[in-house]
Amino acid sequence: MPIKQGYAVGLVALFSLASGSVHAQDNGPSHTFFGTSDLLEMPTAESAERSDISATFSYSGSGGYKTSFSYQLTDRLAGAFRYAVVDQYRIVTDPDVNPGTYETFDRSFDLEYRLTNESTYLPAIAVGLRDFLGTGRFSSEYVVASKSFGPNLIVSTGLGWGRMGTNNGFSNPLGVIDSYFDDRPVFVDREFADEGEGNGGLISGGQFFRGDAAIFGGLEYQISPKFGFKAEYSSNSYPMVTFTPAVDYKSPLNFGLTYRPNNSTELNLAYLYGSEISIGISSILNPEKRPVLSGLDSAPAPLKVRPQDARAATTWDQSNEPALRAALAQLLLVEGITLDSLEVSDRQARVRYSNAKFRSEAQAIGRVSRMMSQIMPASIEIFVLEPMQRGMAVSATTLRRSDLERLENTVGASEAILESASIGPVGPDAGLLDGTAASDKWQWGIGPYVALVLFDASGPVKADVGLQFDGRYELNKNLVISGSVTQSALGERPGGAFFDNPNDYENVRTDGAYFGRDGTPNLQHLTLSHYGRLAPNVYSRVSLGYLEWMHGGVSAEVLWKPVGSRLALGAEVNYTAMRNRDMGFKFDEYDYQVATGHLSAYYDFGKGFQGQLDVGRYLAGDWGATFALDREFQNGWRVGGYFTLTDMPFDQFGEGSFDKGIRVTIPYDYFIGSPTRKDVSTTLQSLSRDGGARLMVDGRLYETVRSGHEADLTDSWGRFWR
Amino acid sequence: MSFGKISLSAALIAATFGITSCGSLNEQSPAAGISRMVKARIAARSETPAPAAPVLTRQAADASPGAFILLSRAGTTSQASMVVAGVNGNKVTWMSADQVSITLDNGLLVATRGFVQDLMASDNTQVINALVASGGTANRTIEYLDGLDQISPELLQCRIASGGIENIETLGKIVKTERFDEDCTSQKMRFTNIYWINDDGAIVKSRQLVSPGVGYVELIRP
Repeated sequence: MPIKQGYAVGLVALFSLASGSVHAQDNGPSHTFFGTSDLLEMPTAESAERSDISATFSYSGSGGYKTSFSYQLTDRLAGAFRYAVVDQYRIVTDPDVNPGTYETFDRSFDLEYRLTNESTYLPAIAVGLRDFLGTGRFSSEYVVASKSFGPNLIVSTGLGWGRMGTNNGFSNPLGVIDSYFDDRPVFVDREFADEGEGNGGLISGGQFFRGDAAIFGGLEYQISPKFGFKAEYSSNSYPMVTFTPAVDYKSPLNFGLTYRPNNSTELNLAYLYGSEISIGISSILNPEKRPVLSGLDSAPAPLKVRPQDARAATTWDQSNEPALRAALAQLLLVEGITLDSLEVSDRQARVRYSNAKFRSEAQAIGRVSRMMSQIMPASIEIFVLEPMQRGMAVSATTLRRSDLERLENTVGASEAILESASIGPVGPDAGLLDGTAASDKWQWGIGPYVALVLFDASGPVKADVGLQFDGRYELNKNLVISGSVTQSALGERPGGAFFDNPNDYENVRTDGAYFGRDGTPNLQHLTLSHYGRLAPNVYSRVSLGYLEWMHGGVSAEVLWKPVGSRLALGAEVNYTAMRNRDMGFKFDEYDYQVATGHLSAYYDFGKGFQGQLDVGRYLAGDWGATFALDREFQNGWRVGGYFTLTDMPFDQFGEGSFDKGIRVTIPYDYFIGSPTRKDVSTTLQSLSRDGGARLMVDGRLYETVRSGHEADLTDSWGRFWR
Repeated sequence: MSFGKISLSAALIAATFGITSCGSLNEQSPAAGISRMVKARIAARSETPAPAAPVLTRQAADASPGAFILLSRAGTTSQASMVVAGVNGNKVTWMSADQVSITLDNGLLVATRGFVQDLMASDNTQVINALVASGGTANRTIEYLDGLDQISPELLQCRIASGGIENIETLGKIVKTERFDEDCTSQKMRFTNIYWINDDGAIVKSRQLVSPGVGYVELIRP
């Protein structure tokens, strides 16, 4: 497969990279209108490339709109999340009379696991669940086998249950095992449930693989590298049943064309169910494949190597120390790093600094040590580097200067310098002399913002645009005032939520749809925060003020996190009041005060998996716990999910039953290439509601401290020499 | 909704985006970064030569022998002159005004910095030996930084052979050289570096691979 990035000039003919792909088709499976890597509507046993993340938008006249996100979590396991806007049947009383339809908004989750790989004679086999949470509009289970014939053709066939068991369904073969499988219980739907039943959002496990089954199948043929053809026999006949999608169904046969102009874009056009054209667009990203390759960082200053004879020196003239410190501050500024303080003895230099530029703290360590080599007297053999976050030194990396000199620009240097370095707790404050770099105590910024507003009164998704003003003032290195004000360009807009689900709790999040709608400047946050270290491995934070857009008050946190530990423990206590809807300075509209807090455990499972457990009290006064698991990539990407269970009853919570979501963090430098610590995070919640809601405080300790700790340092250590 | 209100909103939106982000907190804004990225991509693909910033003349090169190296991307005519920024044993790091550096060991590329995909390190001992022997084979390892910030080593098998005598031009001067081609293969890649060596045994011109994503660079010692 030729390199597609386009950087290679005049090279394509000479140069080739093996694709390493095991798929029979070079470009892998294409996407369904449900956003999964399958046929048109039916599944296959194929999987996307590991870590692929895709967003698919699809539309057909009677099938409505679907926006799906899918993620290939491991080689074999894939998940998907979807928003659908579909017309569904009203309550069907007479199976021969169409009761009419109405538009509904539906969220659904899928999972698929490939049980076996394809071999010479045997197909790949996968098992999957479609729409296993949520209201169950598409709920299906399936087992499917796929086999390739030659490089361009893959044929799949399988057995489906639930919605996938509706076309020529026959009695469930699993009934041989147990009569339990013979009948599928009707899913209790919120919209016609008795009081306290059926809010959706629960695992519909009682239905799995029960009731009639049906056979489906299809093929995908790759006509050329960019064009493919798909045909399938669907086992979903979209019968007219109460609250099911009202798809115009005339035939089980579907046909489609796939066009893939590059690795990240896919267009689908199909003729579905003998009745209508459907279109789909997919955009595919893979965190492991950075479009800017290794990044656009400018070259560092090369190491300055001491002459052999100078290395023997054991002392230097310490009266030059102030000049040395000033010069180091200037040199570090060249790299965008601020010197905090320096301690030098005859043989050792210890430096504390803040790196606001490089996402990889290991890269900053590499750059600082090279700058130190430029001016440190020859007798200094040991460099100790203590990176700081929000005024707290978080770790100490000790390097031998002669190792740096020996290893620079050699094969294996990255691993070797990590092996010879020691990463441990920070040294004492005593002995450090303040750096003289004039850092700006006052920082500000103005820029445009774009925000997506989900489920307000006017529709499921709306964009808000405007101007944002940010300001930050450092009273001292541990004590900072920061604030942010936005002004929407859309002016005054009506408030109100899309969904109406009254409950007995304060609307700590659901009233968000009324906040910041009056066209005046919105104070997003204005806080005074203090960070400190209480003991060698214990960090503290106190934040005071308008902590977030809906709540203000005081928040205090402590965290225990040794530099090399996989485990961290934290505790947080907040006392907050609900702010006024105009997002100004006042708190008199709601008269709602609440004490919240959590005990938290963070654990690095290794192989990029990071877990978090928070137990405590949430904003609506409900008690419970949040479980989160994230897949973290060494380049800063994170993809994860969480759920929160509290003592708020499901019927009080409303649609969705409990809070859960998928979250993605993308580091800016993945796209833009130039070094930056910034990233963008998005949470796809099935719905933002009042149960299990946490205060949104900026700069919680774990995320603040960890970048300088051993696990994160070694993750991106490959950047040390860059 | 009135017509006037729509156009007012539109004007406000336009005004909002017309303002470029500014202020110290926005120095690392994605907008600025993207414009840099786009510029970098255009530069990488540009067919027309960009003017080389400080143009190195023959006189300047003669006045300070060994002080400069000319770097160009293979297939382009724009050149950057580089000066010595650091010396570590036999390895000399040269840097250009636009913050790109290359490190050479006896004229062989051992590392680059500031390219979109850098050569992090290369082990050239066997190549030097083969060149000294006027041909032969060499095993060597090169390292890149992959998209996950991990060092990705590539084991190469290379064959070095003479391509005969060639007169080449280096900054207006004709130099008699012997050309050597180094054919390297690994499981994933195949490329050919070319070295032109003068009577003193110095590499005066070369075409060497930086990385799959960057391609070849041409280096001239005037």
